Amino acid sequence: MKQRLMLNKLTLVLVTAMMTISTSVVADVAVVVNSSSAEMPDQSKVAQIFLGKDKSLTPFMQKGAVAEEFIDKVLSRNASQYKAYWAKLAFTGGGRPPKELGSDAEVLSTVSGSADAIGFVDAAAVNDSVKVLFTL
Amino acid sequence: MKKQLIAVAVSLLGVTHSANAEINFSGFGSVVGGIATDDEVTVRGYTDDIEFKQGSFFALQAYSDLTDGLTATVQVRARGSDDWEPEFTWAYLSYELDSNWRIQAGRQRIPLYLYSDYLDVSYAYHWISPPSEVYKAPFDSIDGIASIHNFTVGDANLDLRLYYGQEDFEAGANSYEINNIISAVASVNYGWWTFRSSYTQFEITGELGLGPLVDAWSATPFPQVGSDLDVNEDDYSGLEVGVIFDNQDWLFVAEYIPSSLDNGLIGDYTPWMVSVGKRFGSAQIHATVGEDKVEAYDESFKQVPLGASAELDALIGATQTVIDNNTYTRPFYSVGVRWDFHPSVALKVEYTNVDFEGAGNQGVIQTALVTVF
Repeated sequence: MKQRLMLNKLTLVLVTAMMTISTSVVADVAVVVNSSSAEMPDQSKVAQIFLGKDKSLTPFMQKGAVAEEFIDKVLSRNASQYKAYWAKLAFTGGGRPPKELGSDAEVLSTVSGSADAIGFVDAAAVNDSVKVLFTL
Repeated sequence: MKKQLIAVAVSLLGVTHSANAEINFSGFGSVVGGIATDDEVTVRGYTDDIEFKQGSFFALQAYSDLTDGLTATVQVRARGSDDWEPEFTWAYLSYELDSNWRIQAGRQRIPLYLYSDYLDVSYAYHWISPPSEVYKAPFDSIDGIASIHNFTVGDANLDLRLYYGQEDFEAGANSYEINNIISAVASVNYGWWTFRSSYTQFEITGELGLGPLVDAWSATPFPQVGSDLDVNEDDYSGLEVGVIFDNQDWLFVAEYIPSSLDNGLIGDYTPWMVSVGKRFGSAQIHATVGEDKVEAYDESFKQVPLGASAELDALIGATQTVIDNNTYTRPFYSVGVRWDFHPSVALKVEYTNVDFEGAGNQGVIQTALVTVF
């Protein structure tokens, strides 16, 4: 009986470990700015920028799994909550949501082409046209 | 005024078009169905026949950046309860003096309540709409000017606003004119917390349909009673304090709105509510309790002696009924669920129960599809 319990516990630990590993493998997100950018915001400042509270840089959103992970980890929200947040502001003159770009390539070309742009891409897509602030 | 506004709005759109500025369109809407649980009593406008029209509406917003700090925003809302006749809820020019301070001129929302700014954007909050037992103002937009200042102190975001304007509107069979509206709002956003307080005052003149009663009183030695029933350049002043805690898991909202219409039938009203929500993945459950509390002003009425004449007694009787109808405390509660089943659409179901003193506890079930696009 005791052994069974031990085994269950071990399985639980293994499963948890596997889940942890697998989520970290899914997609690493790199937050990027223009290579000439003097602004080097930390994660909480990046959140403020994407929520329109800090206007030191112009943020660019993305679609898909990369965006979901960014919204979850940096903005501590899910996609609907992010949308609700901006609906609240956009329909009351309180600001415009970050423009949504279609792909990693589009984000990289936008950020490398504009001194005050900030975006995020799949870490695997990063090239030296941009500067990486941090990776999630 | 409305026609002028439309003309301005249309010409604004024309200008931006000719200047080749980009116009962004966006919108939101709610399709709401409701049914009261009792066949005798109407709750939130719903009877025991299921009904999809009166709570439903759609709104379309056009926004354009005119450059040099100027932007134009026009929002048109069509409500089922107005037979889908569109009206301008917002139509203003905004000028950014600097990145922390802007001036808005034109038609905009009067910031009476915690949820005033996005009253119609159901997608942005948990209820189908904020409790109408607490949010009782029969109008929500004004024509005027606003100064909006936001800045950061440490980790807190502060937002200070000042409004001045006027509005005329119809509610039911009655029409009203509101002048010299002054409103000041301060809100602080700190982490998951938002604290907000506002003070609003204005002068209101309205036709409540009590003309015969007012006239009858003016022919007695107590004309003041009549003028108290009348809403004629009466002063409204209202305070509002509210708090929202929303860590995207737990939600807590509390709001108290002590306000009064000087020497008038509408008198003092002091509604409040407390709401709590909890999220489970894409679903959120919530519960709200509150009170709709109104007390008609009757100081001069109480001075009138009974038994002076049969005629006066009859007048007292009729007036007492009107005052009684405008003096009540109605506790209410509601429970509901929001389900984000789609990236831009949420389904909401809500049950609300109002204790109508004499008519007892009455319920209404509402369900809604709410969207932003």
